[in-house]
Amino acid sequence: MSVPAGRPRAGGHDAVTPRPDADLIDSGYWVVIWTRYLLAAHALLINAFRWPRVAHPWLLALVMAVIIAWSLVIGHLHRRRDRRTLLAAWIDFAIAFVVVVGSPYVLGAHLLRSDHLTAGVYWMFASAISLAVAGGFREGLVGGLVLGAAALLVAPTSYLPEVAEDLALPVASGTIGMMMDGLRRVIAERDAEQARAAALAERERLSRIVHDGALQVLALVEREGRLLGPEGARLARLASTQEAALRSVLQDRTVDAHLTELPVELTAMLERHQSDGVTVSASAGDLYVDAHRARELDLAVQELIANVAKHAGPGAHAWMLVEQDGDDAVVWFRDDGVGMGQSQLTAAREAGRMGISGSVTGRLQALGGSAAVTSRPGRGVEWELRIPV
Amino acid sequence: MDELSRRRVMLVDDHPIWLEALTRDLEAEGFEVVAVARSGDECLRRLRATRPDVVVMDLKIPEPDGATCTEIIMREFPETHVLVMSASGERDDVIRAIRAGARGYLVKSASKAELLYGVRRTAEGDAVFTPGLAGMVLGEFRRMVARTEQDDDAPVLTAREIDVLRRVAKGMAYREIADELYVSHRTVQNHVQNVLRKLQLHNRVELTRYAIEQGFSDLEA
Repeated sequence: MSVPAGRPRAGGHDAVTPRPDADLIDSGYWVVIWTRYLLAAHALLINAFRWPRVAHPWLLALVMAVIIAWSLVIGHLHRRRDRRTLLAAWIDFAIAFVVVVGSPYVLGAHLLRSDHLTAGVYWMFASAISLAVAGGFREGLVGGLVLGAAALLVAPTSYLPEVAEDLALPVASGTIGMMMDGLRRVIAERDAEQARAAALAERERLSRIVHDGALQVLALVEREGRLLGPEGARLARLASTQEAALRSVLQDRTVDAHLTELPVELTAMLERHQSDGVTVSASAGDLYVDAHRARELDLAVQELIANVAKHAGPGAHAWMLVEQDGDDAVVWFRDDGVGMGQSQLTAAREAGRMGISGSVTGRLQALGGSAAVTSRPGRGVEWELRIPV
Repeated sequence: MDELSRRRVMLVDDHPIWLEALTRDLEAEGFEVVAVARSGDECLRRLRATRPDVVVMDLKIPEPDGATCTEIIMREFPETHVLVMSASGERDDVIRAIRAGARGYLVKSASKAELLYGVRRTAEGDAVFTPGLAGMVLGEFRRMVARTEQDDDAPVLTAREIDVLRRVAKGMAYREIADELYVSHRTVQNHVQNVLRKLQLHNRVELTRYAIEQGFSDLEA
């Protein structure tokens, strides 16, 4: 979480515009700040009681001065989001560690063994919790274990309540770290979801504007153009392509599917192939698969569309139907082209042509699915692609 | 129904150029465009005044939207034949209109010939079942079954109906389907009509049940 100066960030969130979710992290820090102040005061009190028995009282006074001063410094740092760095938490940890391991000299071995309380008393607890809040489970656990073990080692004891006390530290700091990890994850997920919703809302707004204007005119050009001779037909074709492209962009509900690794909705993804020559129908909605498999399936479908253009003959049309069948997503892909007989199909398979071996069948098999093809002369080619969802 | 008596058409769309073009085309085909409307409000007002036989309805119009208008029309004038059109992809609205009783669905990018054919078929009382609609209806039945696992009145499609619907969704013409299944063209058409009837009947059952549950049992009639 160390950050370059001048770009205030904390916990991955923008500190310039505070939001309610950032307050949740804030409250974690407030707990740490006040725990530390109270534990410093507590240490002051306890040490005052045992002052006459301390081996080097003036050294202990110095230690207490450092504890109080550092508590104020780190408290100040923790108040500001841009200053909450993991580095500060580790420095804090180092100071607490020195206080613990210096205790036998400062207090005297005899006193330390009889009290089983280090020079900082319970103050080092705050450092372990600090690490947990700033870092998370791992940092909290490490900090707690090291400080707890050090306290146990400088004042070895076989008195069970004292051992349990030192062992409680890593448990507490570890669980607090775990909680902070969970909190950060929830906030990150919600931020991503909010960003996605905002992007979709904006697309929705654009979609309305384009639908009411440009799309209507394009559809009209497409319809009327065909009647105006070859030049008009060319315009109609262009309008048709643009209309389909525009429409699929507007209907695309997969925001940044290629940038993130979030699951992709198959129907929305495949509907983008809708065009003058391809009709996409879907009975399934909400068919989510992980981004990698969605991409692979999309590539296989692209291969099939390219095949229609290459092999099905002029004017062939293709239809795609996306269905859910139990735990499988099924994509039917059919064209009304020239088709082929069984012997041609076998020959194509052996020659690895038309994606029958590699780019379609191989891809689907690698995904744990299957691809089957049937065809008859004059009756087009039909594919059935299956992948588990 | 005598074909000649179903020639009075109303067009609902919020785009004037589109309305003009469609009016021209339909009149050239011998239809009489008795009203046009650019919003849901206009649609309902003019419909009650002119009582057309056929309504060509764009789903995306100013409030109330096309699906809601279709619901109201089918309640007030159940003998009206409604053909819905949309820019495609508005699955929920399309299904809502079909459940309410619309007889078919076309995407707005359909060619002029497809459009005129669709209106003619609607006027004659046939279902205009495009591949896109077949896919949506298949999905709707699957969702209904999943939703009402214990509910015995949820309509179920026969294996043959699913087969026919799936072939329609894959772009096969009725004649091709008839050939492959060794049945007549008419049989295929009947299967498709049956599917729509089941969907619409279930819609009425649900509406009635809802009305009773809400205590408005007088709506039942």
